[in-house]
Amino acid sequence: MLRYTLRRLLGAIPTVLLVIVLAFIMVRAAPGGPFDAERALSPDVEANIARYYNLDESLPRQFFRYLGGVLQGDLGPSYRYRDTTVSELIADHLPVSMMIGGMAMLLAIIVGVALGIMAALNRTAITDRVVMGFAMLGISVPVFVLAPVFMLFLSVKLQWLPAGWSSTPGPSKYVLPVISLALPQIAYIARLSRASLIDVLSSDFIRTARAQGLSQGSIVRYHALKPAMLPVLSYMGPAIAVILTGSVVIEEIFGIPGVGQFFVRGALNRDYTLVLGIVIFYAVLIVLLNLIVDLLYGLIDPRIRARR
Amino acid sequence: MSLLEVDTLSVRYPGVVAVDGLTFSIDRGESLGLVGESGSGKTQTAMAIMGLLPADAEVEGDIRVDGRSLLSLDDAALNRVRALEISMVFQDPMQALNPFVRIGDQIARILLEHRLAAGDDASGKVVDMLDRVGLPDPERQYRAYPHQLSGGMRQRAMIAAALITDPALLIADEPTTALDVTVQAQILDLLEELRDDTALLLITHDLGVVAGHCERMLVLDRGRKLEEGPTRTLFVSPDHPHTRTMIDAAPRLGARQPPDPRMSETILIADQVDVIYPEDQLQAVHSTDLILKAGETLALVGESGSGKSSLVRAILGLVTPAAGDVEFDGIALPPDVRRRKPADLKRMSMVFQDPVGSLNPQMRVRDIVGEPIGSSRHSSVSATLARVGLDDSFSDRYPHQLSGGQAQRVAIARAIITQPRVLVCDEAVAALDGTVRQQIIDLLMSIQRETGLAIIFIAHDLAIVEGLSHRVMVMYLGRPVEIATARDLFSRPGHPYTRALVDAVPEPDPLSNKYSFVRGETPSPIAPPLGCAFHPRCEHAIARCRVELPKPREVDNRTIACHRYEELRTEVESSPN
Repeated sequence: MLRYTLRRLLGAIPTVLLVIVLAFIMVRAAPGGPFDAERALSPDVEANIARYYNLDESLPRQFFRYLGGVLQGDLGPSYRYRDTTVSELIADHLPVSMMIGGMAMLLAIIVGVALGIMAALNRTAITDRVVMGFAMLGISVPVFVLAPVFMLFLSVKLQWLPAGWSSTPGPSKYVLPVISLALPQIAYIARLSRASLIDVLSSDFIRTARAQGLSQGSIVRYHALKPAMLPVLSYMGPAIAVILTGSVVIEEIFGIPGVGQFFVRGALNRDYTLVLGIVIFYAVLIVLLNLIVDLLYGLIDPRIRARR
Repeated sequence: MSLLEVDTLSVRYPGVVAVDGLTFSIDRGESLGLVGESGSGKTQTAMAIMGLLPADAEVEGDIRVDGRSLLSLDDAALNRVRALEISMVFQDPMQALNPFVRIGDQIARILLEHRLAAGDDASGKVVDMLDRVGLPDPERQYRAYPHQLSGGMRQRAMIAAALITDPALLIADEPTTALDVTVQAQILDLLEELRDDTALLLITHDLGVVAGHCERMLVLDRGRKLEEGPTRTLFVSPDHPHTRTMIDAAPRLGARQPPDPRMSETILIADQVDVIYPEDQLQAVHSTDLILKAGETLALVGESGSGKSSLVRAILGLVTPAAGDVEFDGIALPPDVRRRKPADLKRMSMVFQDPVGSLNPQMRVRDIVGEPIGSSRHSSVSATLARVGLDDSFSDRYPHQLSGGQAQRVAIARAIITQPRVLVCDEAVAALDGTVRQQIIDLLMSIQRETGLAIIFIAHDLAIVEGLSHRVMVMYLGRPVEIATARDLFSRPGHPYTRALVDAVPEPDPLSNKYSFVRGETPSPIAPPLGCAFHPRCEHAIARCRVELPKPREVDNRTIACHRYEELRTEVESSPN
């Protein structure tokens, strides 16, 4: 288990490196720079700033200088937010992003799995149709459509929930962002766990359990649930990535001061170090969370455990 | 009143009649064999009795246990009947046991569900049952997962699960078909020993199994009962010609004379081949030689883990051997198939076990057969199809439109269209019904007579091998233990393992009471025993066998790897029979 974990961590190094290289190239390929403003700076000032931030060096040199910093845990200073490092920005604004992302994930798993099981066990009944119809809708409608519609109806028209973030003190401000973020995931997980449970229920060992006179409830609880949850668990890796990207949109729409919002602003302002820092942070986060998912996989499936 | 009464039972699916007006009964403690080829409706009958048919099945007639109709029961009542009165053993224990749940917990669940025991009492009962079915160290096996057990041990656990409620009727659906030959006999014996007054409905395609284990038998054909009666009577004087054909087609030793050995030049040599799978940390083949002569059939026999398939894959270049050479016509071939020249590839081809599965489902027969020569329109495609007994009407069909036998003919056509000199048949007839099997074997033999093709025939069933092979090589745990002409090998098996294989063939004759079988199962190739790999199962093993690996020696026209061959030879010859 320990050897497997170490091997996986070593294997992730090229992935993260590739992400850094690509992000570096792409951010630099965008036209403009961090210190372009509406009013042009004098050439002297521009050269001074460039020298201060080492932007006058060749791109490869800049890259290796940056990489050297990253390896030492230094994501560099933000170009836009003066006197603030990227690490500080992430540390300050991460908790609210994590809160929303984590709650959305939890909600998606609990509600998605429950709906999936209900649908799988009532395949001919109306439950299945309703759940699957809802799931189809949830997958088809993107977050950036869903969130404003929610806001319009639930906050503005009905005034059930707050629309603003900074003006609301209580936890009620979390409700809409979390639901908007979770809904597509609920839909996807419901479909996934439905299909998986139906598949498991048709396997030979379930036939054996039926031949042993076990009731439908016992069969699901003791024989089918564990194997049926494996595909859901595998989906957790990609789901984390989707939630993270989704949070970028959600934070912008609801005006939440999270990492996602800074990411968007950083990209628009060509705040190179901020964009790169968040990309690297998220890449490492996704790699780690995927590793955790794979380790959990081994806990559920004894055959995989044996192979490690 | 009988224990089980099946009364004009019909099972229909849209467009198909699986069981057609079947009537039979089983008394308490009786054993009935339900025999038929694939598609005869025997499993459908069992599923109907258990109430396990799929939703689109339409059931007519009646099934009664102790006079009570099962078809009108509600789920709760049916569940009680399933566990407490009828239980079932399935074909493939790997599939039929839950891979995610410990063996003991799966069995204990039955007791808990039906409130037959609770807590420690339940686990105690399960451990006792595991002990009774012969699982060594039952407390430890209780906590094992199915994949940690060997095939035979898994089937023993399955039997433990079936008998733990002490049911009145046990249905066993091909309980030994997925197991190794030497394990088959053990499992059948165990069923016989443990069932006491439990009645047995044994479903099988293997007449040898029925002959040795059932008082009565019932022959099914396309969903209908052909005939029913005491097993002995039916074997001696069956009323129906189809029963006769099935009995005659059942593989039995001594039924067919092995062909004369071929005296021809050697075309293929495998020299000191090692096959290692580093991923699985095991060595599948240990410094093994193989010699194949032009026009001969060499049978490669052994159970799972014997290394027979790995050896052949190394010869074909499908796995790269860790050591050793493969020579064709005296010229060494590159070990990796991707580095072999097209001309080399055309000289060897292969036919696989699963006839339909080994054909691309999206290709027509004509394209499948024409693929190796790069043209499906070539005249040789229809000529080759004709050679394997398929007329032109087959060339536009897809694999799923073929029967098992027809699909295997297509696979043979694809293999011989390049006019190879060596054909490898990997369990090529194992998945076919008795009557079809013999047709395919006859076809292979006639192609060999015409073209001088050399055949490597991998099989686990000695009775099939006997009639078609010139020479036989028996392998055990990655090494050859005996190589001899089929005549010598079958008239006088030299190695104790060869003898065990011969003894394990179920005789399709109710009067034969041959009942000796080797104990244990093939150990895992990950940790093979020291000395002679067979010694833990060998009744003749002495101290030397436990420490010293027997080298293959040339004695009496055969190659044999047994320290005690000479002593045992005289022992066998001086014994009264």
